This record gives sequence, C-alpha cells and structure tokens, in this order.
Amino acid sequence: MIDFLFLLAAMMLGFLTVFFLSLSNIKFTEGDLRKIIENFIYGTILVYGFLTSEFFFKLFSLNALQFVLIKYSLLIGSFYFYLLASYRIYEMSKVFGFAGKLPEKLRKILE
Amino acid sequence: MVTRVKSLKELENEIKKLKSNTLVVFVISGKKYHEVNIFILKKLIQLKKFSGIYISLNRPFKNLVKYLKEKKIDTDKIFFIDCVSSFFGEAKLAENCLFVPSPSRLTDIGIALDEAIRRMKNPSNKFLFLDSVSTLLIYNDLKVVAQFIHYLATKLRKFGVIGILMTVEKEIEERFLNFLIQISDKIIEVV
Repeated sequence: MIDFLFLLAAMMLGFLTVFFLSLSNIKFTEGDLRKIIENFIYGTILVYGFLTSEFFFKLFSLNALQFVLIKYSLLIGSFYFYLLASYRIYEMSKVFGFAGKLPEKLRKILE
Repeated sequence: MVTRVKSLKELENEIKKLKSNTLVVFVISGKKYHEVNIFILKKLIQLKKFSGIYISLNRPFKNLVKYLKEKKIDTDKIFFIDCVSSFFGEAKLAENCLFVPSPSRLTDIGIALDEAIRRMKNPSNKFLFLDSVSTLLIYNDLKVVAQFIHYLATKLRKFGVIGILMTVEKEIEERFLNFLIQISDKIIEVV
C-alpha cells in the first residue's frame, strides 16, 4: 500500500513539473534555454510514464519480461533527455558563463 | 523628463552631466543617427573614461569595429554583443564579442547581459549601449520589447550601470515612447 502512495505522490509531482516547465517555456524567446526546457519536459514525461507503468504493473501484478522492458525503456529514455538538457547547459555555460576564465580582452573591459 | 538638444555641443553637455545608475533614452532623427551614435560613444569612452557593453542590432561586429576605429574610438574598451553576424547559427563567444544568432533571441541577450554585469568590478564607470530599440521592435513584439527593456532597466539600476538606449525618431509609436519615458531617467531628443 505504501508503495502506491509514494508512486501517486511522485506522479503528482511529475505532473506539476511538466505543467510549470510548459508554462515557462512559452514565455521564453526562441533559443538555447527553450531547447533545454523542452528536453526537461520530455524527460519528465518519460519519468511520469515510468511511474505510471510501475503503478499499474504493481496493481495488476504484471511481472513478465516485456513489462520490465517497457518500464526501464521509459526510464532510460527520460535520462537520455536529461543528458541532452545537461549537455546543452554545459555548452551554454561556455558561451554565456562569465564567472569562469574569460578572454583577456573581455576580462579587462569588464573589470 | 524630455530634453531637446539641437547641437553636438549641447549634447556633449548632457553627456557630461550623466551620472552612474541612470537610464537615458536618445531619440534621434534618422539623418543624424550615425553621427550622434558615434558622438555619444566617443564621449562616453574619451570624456568620461567609461568602458562597457555595446549591443549591436544594426551592424555586424567586424564592420562596426572597423567603422569605430575609423572614427578613432578605442574598441578595446567595448564588449560587443553582435546580433547580426551569425544569423540562424549558434551563439559564440570570441575575444571581446558575443555573437547572438538573432535579434529575436532576447532570452540569450538577457542571460549574457546578466552574466557580464555581475562580472563587472566597478559598474559605476560602465555603460550599456543598445543600438537600437527601433531595430528590436522590427524583430520582436512591442510587448516583448517592453518587457525586455524593463528587465534591462531594473538590472542596470540594481548594479549602477549607465544605460544608453538609442532609438530613431518616428520609428517608435507614441505608446512605446511613453513607456520609455516612464522607465527612463531622461529622454534626450536630438533634432
């Protein structure tokens, strides 16, 4: 029983995450940040799918290999999108991140 | 407050009076735009000994640097944000220029500005030069540009950087000019 409660709570949080991400995404102008948010949305939708499948597979005691494959494919898919988002953030930090080492000319101008 | 200036001498006096933490909008007649643009930049760098950020929405970086050098402006004092050169490409950071793929990518420009301003050691002798609001309005909705300018104004005030917003007379509608009057400290009309 406790499993189901935790799964339901996680599903609810996942739903709220997608909701807020989608709302914020339409407010940003096109660009890297928007792509990052899109990746997070897809990743979270897949996590949501993983949790939902886990919920129903547990509820109906479905333990066959194909169900396990579906479940973990969704999880791996979600991490693939999180990886894409993280890589975009990393790339973005190289262009927009000014806290690290800057080109000498730029550092002189700003400092 | 709207001040009308008719000569470069009067304009120079206005620039001399500029203090840090002020946001000034220059409304310039189309014919005088380039001359006044260069004049303001020159005075900020040579007279007030400022350095700063130049957001170019009209000229590509290389062309602009060449032009400024011809006009004897020290380009080593300027960090350029070029929104023209790499249309539809990727954002890139070069020696003293950040290439933003399009003037419509205001989020990217906003992030870059936030980072640059936070990195400034002495923001009170720095400027932000936006060339120009009129061009921003060609690529973006009026409401989006208003939000962006409001964001800029808040950021500049918070850190004490001088904000110079350039715009061409008659290219912005009265409603937008009224908005600029509300958020800026001074409007200087160059006729």
